[in-house]
Amino acid sequence: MNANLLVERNTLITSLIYCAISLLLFQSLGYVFCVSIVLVTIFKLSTTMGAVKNPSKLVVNLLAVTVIVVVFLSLGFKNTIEMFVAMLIGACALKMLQVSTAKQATSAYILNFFTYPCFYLFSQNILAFTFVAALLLFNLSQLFSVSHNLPIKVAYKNSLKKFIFSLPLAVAMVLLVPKLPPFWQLPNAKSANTGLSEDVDPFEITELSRSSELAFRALLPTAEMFQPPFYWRAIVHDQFDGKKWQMSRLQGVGLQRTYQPMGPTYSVIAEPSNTRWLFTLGDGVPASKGMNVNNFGTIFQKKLSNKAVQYEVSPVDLDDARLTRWEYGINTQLPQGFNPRASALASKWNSETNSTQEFITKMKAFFVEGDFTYSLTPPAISEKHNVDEFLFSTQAGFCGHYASAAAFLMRNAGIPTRLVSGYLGGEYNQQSNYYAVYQYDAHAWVEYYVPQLGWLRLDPTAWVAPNRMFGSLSDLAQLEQQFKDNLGISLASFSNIRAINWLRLQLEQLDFHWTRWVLNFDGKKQSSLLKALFGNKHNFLPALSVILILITVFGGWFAYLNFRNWQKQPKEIRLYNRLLDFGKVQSGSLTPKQAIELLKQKFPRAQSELDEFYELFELARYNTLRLSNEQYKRLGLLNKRIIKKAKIK
Amino acid sequence: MNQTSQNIISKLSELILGKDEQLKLALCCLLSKGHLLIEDLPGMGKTTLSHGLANVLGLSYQRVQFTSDLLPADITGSSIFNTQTHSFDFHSGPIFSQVLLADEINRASPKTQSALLEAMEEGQVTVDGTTHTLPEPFFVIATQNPLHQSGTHPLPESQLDRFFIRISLGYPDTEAEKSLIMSGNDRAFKLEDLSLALSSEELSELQKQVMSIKLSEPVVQYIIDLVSFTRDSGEFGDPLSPRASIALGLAARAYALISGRDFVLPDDIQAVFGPVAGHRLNVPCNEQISVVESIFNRVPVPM
Repeated sequence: MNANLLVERNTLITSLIYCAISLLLFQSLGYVFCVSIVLVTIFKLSTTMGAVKNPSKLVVNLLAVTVIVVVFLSLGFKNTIEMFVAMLIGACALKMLQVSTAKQATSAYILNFFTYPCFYLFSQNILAFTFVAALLLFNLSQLFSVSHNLPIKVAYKNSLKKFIFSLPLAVAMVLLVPKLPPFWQLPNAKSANTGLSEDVDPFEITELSRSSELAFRALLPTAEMFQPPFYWRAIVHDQFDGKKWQMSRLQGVGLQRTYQPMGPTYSVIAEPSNTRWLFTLGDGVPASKGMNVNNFGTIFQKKLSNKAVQYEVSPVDLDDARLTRWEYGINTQLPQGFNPRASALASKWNSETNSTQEFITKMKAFFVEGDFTYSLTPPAISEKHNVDEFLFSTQAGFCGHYASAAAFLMRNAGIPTRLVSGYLGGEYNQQSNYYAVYQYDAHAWVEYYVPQLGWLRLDPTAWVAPNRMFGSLSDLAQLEQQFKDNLGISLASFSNIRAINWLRLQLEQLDFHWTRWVLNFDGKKQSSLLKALFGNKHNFLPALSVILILITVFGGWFAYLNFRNWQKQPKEIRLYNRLLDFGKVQSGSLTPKQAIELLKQKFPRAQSELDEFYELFELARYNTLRLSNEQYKRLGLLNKRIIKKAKIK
Repeated sequence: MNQTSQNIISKLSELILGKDEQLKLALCCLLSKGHLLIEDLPGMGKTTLSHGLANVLGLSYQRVQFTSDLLPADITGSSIFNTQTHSFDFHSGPIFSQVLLADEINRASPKTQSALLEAMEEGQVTVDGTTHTLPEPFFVIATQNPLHQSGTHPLPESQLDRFFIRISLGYPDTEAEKSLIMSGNDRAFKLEDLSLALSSEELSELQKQVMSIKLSEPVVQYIIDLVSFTRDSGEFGDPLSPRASIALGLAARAYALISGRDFVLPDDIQAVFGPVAGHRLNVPCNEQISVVESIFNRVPVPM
């Protein structure tokens, strides 16, 4: 096949692939960049079809400058990772415009083995894996195609074969080669994630747009203490400024004490998010490295990671018998001069009741008897006295409204209260026995403190929408339409079609196993696997021996090949090469005569021996005479003598 | 060095001073039964060299000065009507000689050039349907001016290939030029002196010996490597043909014979590669050395 045509076709396909990648990364790379890549691809398409002439060097350079400017303007230095990935994709796409020879194309395809996996910086789920793996396989075949001038189909078959052959080796390496900590780390790419935030201001939100993205999965042991409703605590907001509920700075401080576990541990696999805060059922301390728990019972990562994290939680009771003075201070703190009507109402209830329980009963009665409704699309409240406005006029909202209003009322009565945001519910997967919790399960509720009893949970939303407490929001028939309208198009919005729901659950399960067994295959899992395979010996011994065996096998094989080549050479060549090596003469483009001349200059003492050596060498090599044994002996002797003489300085 | 060839070269070097290497190559061309192309500026001794070669070998010699109005018949000869016998008699042209000196071949029109080159390749001439065989040995020495000179028609690539070796004499060194000036123009006298250094039997004996020179496997491999480099590197528009590879082997053998060896060294290949391959690769004479150097530097000598 015509080599130029082949290069042309291959580069066109690759340009289209770059285009697809940048469109898939649209959210991270920005629309300006994506549009420019699409334009470059269109340019490439038209040059291939012959509508436009191949660009000159100047044009390509100008385009390169433009793309760099676009990247700087649209992404800037804030998102380093996005910027570099965009630069890489842009450079590769432009290179495709310029490539004309098989050699250039080959180097571009080699670079692609680095470019394509950059996709993993943004997503690591099973779909992303399949996509990138397919791209890499295809890239291999394109590499074969251009470098060996093969039609793409033939090259594809070849590379598929090679890929399949090398698969067992790759699996063995992943399983057995010891996992070393990374030598360097990239700053994390910002994942465009909805989910929880550290500040809660429900009143300004008019439409809670919720996504069907996975938040985390949990594997719960079948113990009595894990019964629905599942309130997954994540962030505790203990500071209220009149508008927003925030986290105080004390939350980053880890607890130093050890606690007695109260039951079996459970494990959680959290998807990448943009906060450090993780999820627990009630109080719990992490049994995994790199995490800690604070005084508020929130587990947090010491370092934010952009990968899915798996951790074990052992349930404990963090509560002390009484609150310290500072804790009391924080949890009853309120700014002055906000929401006078609500404050008055709270004071009135407070004077009418004697205990916290009674106060709550009064408050519940107020919500239940009042005309409150649960709505995902509440009217906006932007006034200063937002709680007043909600309690006495709009009276419609979602969990955030109810929780924050209740917390405000209770703090007014001097009850230590805090707002908790997290997730409620979860979808149970029977085949693999785990709970999947989605972003649309996000919830907010209140915790209040009662002396001797500790912190208790109160969910004011449940008074208004009691069904919300059980199961996932996706099961809640009453809000179904409203909920699905807010979801946008995703598989979850079609969950009432049976086949699609089945498909969704299967995909979900596949992704669960992928995350659990492949993405989170870390040193710990590896060592337990090695233990299972090789018995309870040293952790690193089997792995080390595997590496050593691999190295010896490969090294031995190469040494054997080299030796065979060496042995095949006639004696005179071996002796000649030894002389050259000794004299550090690069023989490459020199004829033996010239090389020997060079040696004579280097070692003037051995001139006569060198001459004699060359004469015999010439006879054997170019006169096609077989040297007698005597002559061979003489050759060896001369060789030794030359080296000896040369060593004398 | 081989005694006979030593003899020839020392005689010729009395005529052309300080150009032993070129003389060796010219002799090498003769021994390989190839045709010689000498490319140089006017006044460098092209004609003297060709004259001398013919004299030394004791061969019959004709010279044609190529001009733009020269016709093919002027070289090959033509049939003329004999009024007594009432038939056409063929009057042979200057090509019917053992050594033909085609002076300034690139001044003639392409038509005349091809007539000559065809005769060179076939060893025969066809005029009016009758084929006339050329004498043995038949040896063409063509001289040509560098192409940038006015009034020249460049030889087509396909016809350049017919020349076995291209050499360029170049300016003499100071010593040689001094003695040239001292001796004045006594060329004719010296040419007389040169004659019959070699009988035609001795010549054909030498030509037979060329084929008995041993060409070992690594040397053949070197030829192959050099030739494939010109084909694969993409630097040359006209890479070397198999005819060129054969010529390289032959020239190297002749060169080894002249050097008094009965086997070929890689050094022989390097010595003949430029003159044999230069014109076939369409490399101008003045760039030949650097181009050849760069090829040698990138093609390792096989062991």
